Amino acid sequence: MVIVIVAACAVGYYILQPRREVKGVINLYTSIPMATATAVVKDFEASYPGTKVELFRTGSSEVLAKIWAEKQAGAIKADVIWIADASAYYNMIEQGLLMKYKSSEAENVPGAMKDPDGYWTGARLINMIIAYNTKLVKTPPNSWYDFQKFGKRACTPNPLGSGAMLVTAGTIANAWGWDFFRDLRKAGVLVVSGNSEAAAAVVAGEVDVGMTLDYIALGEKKKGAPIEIVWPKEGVFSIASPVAILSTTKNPDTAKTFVDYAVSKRGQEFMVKENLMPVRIDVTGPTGLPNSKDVKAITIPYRWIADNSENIVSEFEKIMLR
Amino acid sequence: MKSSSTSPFDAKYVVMAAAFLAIIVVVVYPTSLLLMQSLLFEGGFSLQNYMRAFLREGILDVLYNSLWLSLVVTLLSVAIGTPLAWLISRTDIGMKNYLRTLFMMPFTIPPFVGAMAWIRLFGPAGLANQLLSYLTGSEQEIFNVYSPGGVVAVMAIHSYPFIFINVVGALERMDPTLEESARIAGAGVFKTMRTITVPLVLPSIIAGGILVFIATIENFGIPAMLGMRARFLVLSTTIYRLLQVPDIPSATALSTLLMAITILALFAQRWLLGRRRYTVISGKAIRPRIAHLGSWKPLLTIIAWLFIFLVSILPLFAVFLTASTKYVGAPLVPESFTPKYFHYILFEFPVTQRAIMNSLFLAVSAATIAVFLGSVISYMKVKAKIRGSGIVDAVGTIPYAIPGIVVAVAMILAWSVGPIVLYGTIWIILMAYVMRYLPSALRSTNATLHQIDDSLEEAARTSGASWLNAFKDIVLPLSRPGMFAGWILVFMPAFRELTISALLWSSGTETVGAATFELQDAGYKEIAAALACIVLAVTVVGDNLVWKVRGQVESTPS
Repeated sequence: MVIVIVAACAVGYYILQPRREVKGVINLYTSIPMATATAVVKDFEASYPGTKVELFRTGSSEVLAKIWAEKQAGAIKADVIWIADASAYYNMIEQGLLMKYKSSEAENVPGAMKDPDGYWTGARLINMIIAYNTKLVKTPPNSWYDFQKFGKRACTPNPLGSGAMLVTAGTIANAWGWDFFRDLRKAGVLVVSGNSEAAAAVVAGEVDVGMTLDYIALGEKKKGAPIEIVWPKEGVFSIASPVAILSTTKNPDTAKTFVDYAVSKRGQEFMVKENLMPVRIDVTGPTGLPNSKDVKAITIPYRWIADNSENIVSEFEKIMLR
Repeated sequence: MKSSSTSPFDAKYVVMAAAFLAIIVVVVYPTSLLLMQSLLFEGGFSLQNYMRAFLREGILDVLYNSLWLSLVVTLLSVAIGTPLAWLISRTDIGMKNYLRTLFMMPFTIPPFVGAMAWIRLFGPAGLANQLLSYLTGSEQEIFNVYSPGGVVAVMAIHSYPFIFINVVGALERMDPTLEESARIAGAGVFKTMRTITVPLVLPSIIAGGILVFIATIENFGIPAMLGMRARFLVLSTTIYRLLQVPDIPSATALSTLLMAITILALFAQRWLLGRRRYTVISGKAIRPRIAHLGSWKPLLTIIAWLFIFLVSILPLFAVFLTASTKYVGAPLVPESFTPKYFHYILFEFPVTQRAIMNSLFLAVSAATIAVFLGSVISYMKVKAKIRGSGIVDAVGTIPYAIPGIVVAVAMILAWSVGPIVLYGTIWIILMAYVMRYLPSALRSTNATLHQIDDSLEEAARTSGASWLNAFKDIVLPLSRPGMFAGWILVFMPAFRELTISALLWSSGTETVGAATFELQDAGYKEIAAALACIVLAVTVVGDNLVWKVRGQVESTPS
């Protein structure tokens, strides 16, 4: 009899066990580079046992295209979105795709890095910078306008693959005009798909300089690769990559927990380990990067980029890829 | 329905109806949806989508790029493959068996892995440029595989084996007495070659050439990896980008156009070969006259082995080197080597672990389903000779003319809306694979069943065995080796598939092809190379198995 009860309990436990875990599963759609994203997800799962994050990682535009396709199909699979193209969140809010959530952890995040209504919270501070190969470049550039001097020994990411580049290209087009890119094209500057590939091209010496993100370049440098970061005199394109919850989520609790984690002290300290600048004022940044307060940031016209994102992508392609 | 097991008539028709239904779901529905969607614009039928697609700036350049690329690659493949075939089957060059296997090697290496290797070897910072600047002291970059020329060269290296194997086959089956008669009649070596040998192998060259043309125009991996930095866009990469934007109507219009080109190419093949039907290539195995290379032998042997070293050994070495050094471009000293990337993809990184499992699952399932479906249809056509089964067989062969990227687009259209949504699941990839590889399964099952004499089954039936029993006891055991060969022939390409899965993968349904491509594209060259090594290991072992199994099937007396 006892055996039967124990067995029944065991069976019951076995049946209930996976269900409790399933309850904690969320789908995270992100453009954070695969290795970093996997590490962050692992740390989250370790901090909150019983949760599980299914990771879908690709470029910002592809993440958006995927969500768009899922919306068309009638079922959005994503629970949490975390991409670099901060402007895209405007459109998502307008389409009713996002859920409001003001995390208590976000109190330590400066106001400019979070949505006043609570639709999104900046959780990863990334800076578009110029990286150069230290073995190949004797006099590093110190302005964005120096970039074209490297001609086909220079590369930029493609806004179609990189949300940070979409924001960068949009800001440049808005503030300096498309002629900036026409000059790059005339000089023969190459286009690669993403920021990691741009950094990899610099490291391998396929190009001398590349536009890429600060933490990717720093990560390569710490591996021992011959790469160094330039902080151009005009400033950098500084983006607080927002994390947000989809309004269609079937698991808001775990999704909220994930947002809490992303901006929590532990979460941000983990970002620092991955060479990212923290969004919190009470977390010290990684060695090798300046303090976020000291970074000269170019003002980004998010609203304008949100309204023109398709044009930015196609105009960039028209100029740079023909 | 008890009667179905006792009355063979019913059972046959029930099975055939089921097979027909499967074909409709897997082939007819997605294809017709693609055609329809490309013509649908704002609720009505029109050519608007085509207009829109064609009015996009640069689309004519893309079409032009695709066409000349495929043409040049085809000609180059013929120029490489034909002399190599002659060398193997008509000369006294040494170590023929090794040479033959190694000449086929680039066929075994998946194109996207090849592209990775050639970047490492002949990229702007590749080993070739490093070596040259070390030797000459100049910083000038000589080679750049990120160029239209680079795309052509890499494509040609991956395509010439099609021509090689076709021409070797033709030369070996050719009746050598014809050549000898010409020689006896006073024609010289070159005249004989021009008037007898070349015309006789021409049909095989044309057949192989058209295959190369189609394979090139539908290839996605190589132009995607090498073309972007050269601003060199082709149809397949453009469709991929249109789906990213996303501009589905233009993508469907261009997909239909790409499909039309491959269908035209297949018609051209039929037309060209139909006019030149030579029956002098018989099945008889007569030892052909061997050309003695004489004093040319050492030189040609060296060239052959250098060629093999360049196209087969170096790429494998390059991928392995990338996977086992700390970062690309690290100095080649012992401290730079590390096994950590292999450890990472196999034991730490869930994406690559899943990708390997998914690809195995997809390849096994697709092979099993396609061969099962193929066997049923072939049996109905070849053995049971049911009326109408020829149509089912023909419909099942349609995907042969549909490029992989178009299969993917059709699947997105068919299964992302409506009552059954498979988009985002592994089933949509499986469905696409079954569609893609059904023609190959049909071909091998058709051939296998043709080899089994009808009288065996008839004997069983006259001895009182039911249709099902005769099938189970006679047909099935006899066709097993052929079915296995057909299974492997689906398993191998499905395992290393990239084009379809690059468009259909989702979180949790990564394939090794898609994962390698994404990782390489994201700049994780070392991790991508480590995964590519796993793919290579499986394909090299698998392809050798294919040759062995094929050899057995071919040598089994029918």
